Amino acid sequence: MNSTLTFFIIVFLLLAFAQLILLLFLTSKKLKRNKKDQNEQNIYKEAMPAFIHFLYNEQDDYIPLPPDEHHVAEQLFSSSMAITKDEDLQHKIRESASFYLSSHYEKVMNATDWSARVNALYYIEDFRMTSLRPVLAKRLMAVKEQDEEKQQLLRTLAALGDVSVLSYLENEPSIKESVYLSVFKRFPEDVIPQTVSYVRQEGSLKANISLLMYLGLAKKLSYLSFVEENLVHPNSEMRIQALKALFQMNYISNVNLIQPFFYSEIWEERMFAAKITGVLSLSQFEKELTEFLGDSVWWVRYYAAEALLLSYGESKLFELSQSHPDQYARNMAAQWLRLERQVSVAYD
Amino acid sequence: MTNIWNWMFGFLSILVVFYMTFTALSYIILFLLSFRKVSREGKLDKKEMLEDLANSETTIPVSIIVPAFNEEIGIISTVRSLLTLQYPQFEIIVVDDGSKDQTLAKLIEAYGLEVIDYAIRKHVETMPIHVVYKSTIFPNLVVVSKENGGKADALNSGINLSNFPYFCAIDGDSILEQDALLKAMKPVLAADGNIIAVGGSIRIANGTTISRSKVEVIELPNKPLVIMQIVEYFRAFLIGRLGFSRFNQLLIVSGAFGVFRKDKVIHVGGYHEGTVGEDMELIVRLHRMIREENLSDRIEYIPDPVCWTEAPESLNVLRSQRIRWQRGLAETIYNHRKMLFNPKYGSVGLLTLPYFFFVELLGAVFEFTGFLLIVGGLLFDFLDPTVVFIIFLVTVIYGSFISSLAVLLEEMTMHKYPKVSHLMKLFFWSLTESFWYRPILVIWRLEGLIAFFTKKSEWGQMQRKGISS
Repeated sequence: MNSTLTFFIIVFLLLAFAQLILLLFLTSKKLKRNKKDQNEQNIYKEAMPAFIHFLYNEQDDYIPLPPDEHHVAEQLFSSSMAITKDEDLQHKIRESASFYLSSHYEKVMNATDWSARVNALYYIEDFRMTSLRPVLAKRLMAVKEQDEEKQQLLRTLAALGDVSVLSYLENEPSIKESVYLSVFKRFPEDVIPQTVSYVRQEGSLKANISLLMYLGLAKKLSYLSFVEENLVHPNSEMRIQALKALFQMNYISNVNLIQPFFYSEIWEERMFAAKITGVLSLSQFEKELTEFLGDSVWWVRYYAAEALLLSYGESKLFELSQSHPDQYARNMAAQWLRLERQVSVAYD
Repeated sequence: MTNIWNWMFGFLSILVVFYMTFTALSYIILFLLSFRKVSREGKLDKKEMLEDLANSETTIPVSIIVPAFNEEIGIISTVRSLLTLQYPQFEIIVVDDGSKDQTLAKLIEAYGLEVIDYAIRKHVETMPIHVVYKSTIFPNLVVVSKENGGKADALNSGINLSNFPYFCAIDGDSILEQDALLKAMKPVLAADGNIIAVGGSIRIANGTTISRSKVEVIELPNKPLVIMQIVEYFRAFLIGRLGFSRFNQLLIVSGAFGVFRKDKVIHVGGYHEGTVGEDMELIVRLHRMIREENLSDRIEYIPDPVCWTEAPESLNVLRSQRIRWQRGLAETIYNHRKMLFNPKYGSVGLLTLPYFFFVELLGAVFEFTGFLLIVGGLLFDFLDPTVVFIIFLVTVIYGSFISSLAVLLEEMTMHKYPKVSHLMKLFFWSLTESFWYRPILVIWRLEGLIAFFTKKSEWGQMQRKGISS
């Protein structure tokens, strides 16, 4: 009995001691954090007017900031960046950021603190610190895990105009389309032609699908021919993305290109054919749209009704709501006539 | 005869000691699992992390469904907080489940609602919908008035009306932080649809100043009953849910705030009516689907997105809440008993569901038995009072130690409570937990088990003061 008692007494004492240490640790951490926050706020308040003065005046010297106050510098530059669209001012802010932070970020990128590295990457992207490209490229090669750091490295390098990230992506089969897309979206305008040409010639299916997504979202009409040539791609996902891109671009060079999709067995293709017809108010597909109104898929019926409304007006839809042989078609036409919704229905 | 009593006493004692040791170790393991994730991601710059999503046209639009039954006090501020969410595209669907109070009238007045004809796709059968209203002020706000059918039925009606591929279910008395939806959707977007449900953290708003649906000053309440619930929520979310989530074993996404992939929820039949724990029941059914259809889908808990809700301040209201929770847990485990110890359901069937069965559901029975054994043992001289006292102290300090670890995780992730005095208060009340809070919870959980065999379902209602001014 004595040994049991001793055991429990030891456990009790250990737990009590651990809890006391934990309380002391948390208390001192909170006190330090509160003090640091207060100090940073004070420095920020003092530095902001001087920085604004620096931005709007011809001044050669950077404003003085206490050494090692990197967090304050980040806040100062990023908040200034957020409130201006003026390219000259943005350039000045980026130069200041490079001056104060680039050597610090270089150290951080080689340190072991994962969250500090990821945070640094966010700011390197914001401040377009191109001088750090070699450091990031080296880090990318070293990262093994598919985590936020790797994704942010790719995004940051893309924002800095490093097209070599594309070949890196192509060698990583587990990378998802959303990562490709975020890379395309970040590439500076001047590397887009090189990107499109690379993907077109050597890109994987994933790269091509993501590029079509990007071209549609960015409404890059200068690449319309690339989009349209993919309407006859043997892969259905490529065709669907090409249709979606045309819908987003709001343009098609030859309306006959969408004709085959009215007879597709893939409902997404039929749906996009209806959506494109509607958004471009094309008038030559009345028969096809009328048939789509009774399609077996709700989304096709929905967008066929919208296209009929946009291309032929309420009277046509009213007529179909009365005379269409299919009951689902009549219901959908009637619903669209009554429909009051402004919330756009999204199919992604 | 004495021998049989001795044998029974010995057997039950071993059982209770085994249970206590197992529970104690499981909390430590879950803490260690959570700690790694928190220590890695806790210091990330959230604003920078979300910047891209907040402005991206590829961010998946979300339908926010707010089931409401007699929520006249909180509904306006809940909707107001939702309208100010930072998210590129979303719609709000408030489902008034036949409220007897002024819920609908208040919404009509506050948001200039007018009747519309709305195209409804019936994915899931529900009670009839009377009227659909749309706000003339906010085009993304829709209010549905329907026949009373319970919370699950209200959520299913919201699903039928929703337009977007993901929906967020939120209680009618809760306030979402402005970036909560972005934070919840971030992993979904990164996983390209492989994450089918995400749960966020629920925080207790009592004591906190919420003005015009925005959290302004975070304070701890004065009532010990509420402070204990705050500590309890830290433990449940930051240790329990985060730990389970690391291995795709999360079995609960709180009904107060969760995001779901709509097609998957429809595929499993929507929310089940006739259960008071419809939130957990749905998640278990989704796990069942993942295993039965051999999918790579994940269900995740993300500690960052925060939803503030009002906690019960009186023993009576807390009692009825806990009875309902325990009953919901019992119903879910009973309905899915096929999964228990079934290797076909992988680690969920072999480990997590049995854990919920023994620790969360039957835990109260074990603890109550332990209490009886101690009292009986002391009365009939089976036990040495000194040993009992020391074991009791160990239990007290251990419970409090686990709560302290939860406070540590909160400090590492969100550090919402800014003052040192908050820490002291949380630690102090954690120390008292085993003396008063835990015993009363044990009694209520036992009542919940009894209710499982006896009572019929109803909306969980509590007296509210409202959390936003």
